[in-house]
Amino acid sequence: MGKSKMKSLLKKKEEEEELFSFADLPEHVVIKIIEMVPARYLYNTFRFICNSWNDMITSAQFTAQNTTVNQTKSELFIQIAVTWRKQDYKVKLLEMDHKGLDFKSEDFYTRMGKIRSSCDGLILVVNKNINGNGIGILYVQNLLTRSSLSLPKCPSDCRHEQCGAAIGFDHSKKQYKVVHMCADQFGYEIFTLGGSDDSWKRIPGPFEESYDRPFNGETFRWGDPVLINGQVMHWYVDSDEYAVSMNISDEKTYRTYFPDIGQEIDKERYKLLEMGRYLAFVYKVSSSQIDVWILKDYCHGQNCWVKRHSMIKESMNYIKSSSSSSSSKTSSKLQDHNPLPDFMRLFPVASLRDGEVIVFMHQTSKNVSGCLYFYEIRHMELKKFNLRMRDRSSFVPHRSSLIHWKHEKELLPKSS
Amino acid sequence: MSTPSVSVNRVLKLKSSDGEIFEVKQTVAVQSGVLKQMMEDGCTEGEIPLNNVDSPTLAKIIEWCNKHHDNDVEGRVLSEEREKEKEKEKAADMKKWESEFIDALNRDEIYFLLTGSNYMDIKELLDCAAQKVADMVKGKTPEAIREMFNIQSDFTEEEEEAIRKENQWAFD
Repeated sequence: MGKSKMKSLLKKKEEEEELFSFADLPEHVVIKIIEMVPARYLYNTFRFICNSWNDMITSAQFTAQNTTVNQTKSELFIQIAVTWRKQDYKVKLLEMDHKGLDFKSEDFYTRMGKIRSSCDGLILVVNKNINGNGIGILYVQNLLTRSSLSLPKCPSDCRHEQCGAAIGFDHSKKQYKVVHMCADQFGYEIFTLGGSDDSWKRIPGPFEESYDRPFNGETFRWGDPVLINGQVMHWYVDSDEYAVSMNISDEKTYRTYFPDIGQEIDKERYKLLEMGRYLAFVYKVSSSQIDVWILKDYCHGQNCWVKRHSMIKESMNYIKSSSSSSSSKTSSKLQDHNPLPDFMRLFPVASLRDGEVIVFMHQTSKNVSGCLYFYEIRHMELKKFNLRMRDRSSFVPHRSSLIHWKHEKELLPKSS
Repeated sequence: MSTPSVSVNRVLKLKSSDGEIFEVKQTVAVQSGVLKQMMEDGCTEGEIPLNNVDSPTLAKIIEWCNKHHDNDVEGRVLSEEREKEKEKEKAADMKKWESEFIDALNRDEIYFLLTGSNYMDIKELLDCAAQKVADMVKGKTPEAIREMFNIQSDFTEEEEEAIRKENQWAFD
């Protein structure tokens, strides 16, 4: 971005002397402000203020910087399957406020397919409607800039109904990659966006022998991995000891062993999440305590897990909100009518705002899901939101970005 | 010769661009990178002229600094548990105070707060004011933002038309 350009575009209107002009603000202050504006507003509004801003916002350099710097604008896709037609989803896009536990939410009903993963504003979507033959097609899209790219069919002929897929960014080669797994005998399938080769690459699965598997091969289905820092993927494999992991730079797989929590791990009670660019192991210790462990580092084959936080029922601030986005605080007297939930019925589904906030779904009975709870670690504040969830809801944390392309070769690398 | 170290009871005399004098404790003034540097260099004798900050703005800045200073030092002798509780309350109070402080300002006042906190190098206040501006532009039309920022459009009519066509919400 040309800095002198910025200066000239902020020219003061000559006729209005007394009115302050942002022309007088130092450049770094203007840039600070612009960086705090969510990508969506930059793209949909700021671009149309004048030519120079348009040039600046759509420049590769600003796009790259905005993608890496703009880490706190946290959004969450919630997808609820419309039961009578499997491929249609009701989607909510939540945008967290930069402080507190409130958010704005936007509903849309879409046939674009199911969002499986998100990285740098790019989402990986399975669409079953494109061909009309019910076979899912994977494609990568930026909803904001509407750049889109369909991937060729996977060599495994997967229908993408029960498989694990995610998009990540290889920091060393500066390329986006899609990793897909449907059956470990077949192995991983990897597609590099904007790569020289327009085809999937196949690499062996994580288990050499079928008896190495921690899961029952008949019933287990791979799910979408947890993506850490855009680059490391961790798959749940129905194990009480470890997850299967892959760094997409070297495409090597390994096991990530869980922390020593002082007792045997019950695999029904843990959930892996990304929290502030680290892998988190969230464990329900009891009906009144949930522990959050963070994988700080991986060195010499040794995992360094740190217990970051314990959510303790007795010592948290509980706020009940009647509608989705209003922020009415109720007095402590009212809390008796809205008792704290049983923690065993809370299912962690995502972490937002760089690990400050954890989102839980409350499940009232086996197939019925109730509302959402948001928990802010720093203030130990739990807040209930009556967003009606249904079973088979899926949650994908997201951050908007300005990444755009016309041809896949243009896929913009970000500076690191 | 003056003592260069920061002492609790010493005050600085700040002179605004319109000539008003404000007295500020040194322990409060360290929040300003510029004043901190001056104290370290031992050149805070007499009045310190702040030529880019007028008195209403300086009053606001000092109010902010005093509030954040109070928040730092009080309640150090409490028990650990009580302290945690207190921390939580304080953080919530501060959050509330900051948003009330910023929300009470009009456009011009925020603008001067931006230039003032930038000039005096008070990062937290600058961030808070910048965030406020960012919040103010959300949901506004390009025209409204142009007016707010005092920027002239340099698009041709054709360009403007093309942009309008392009600018449809992605989920339609």
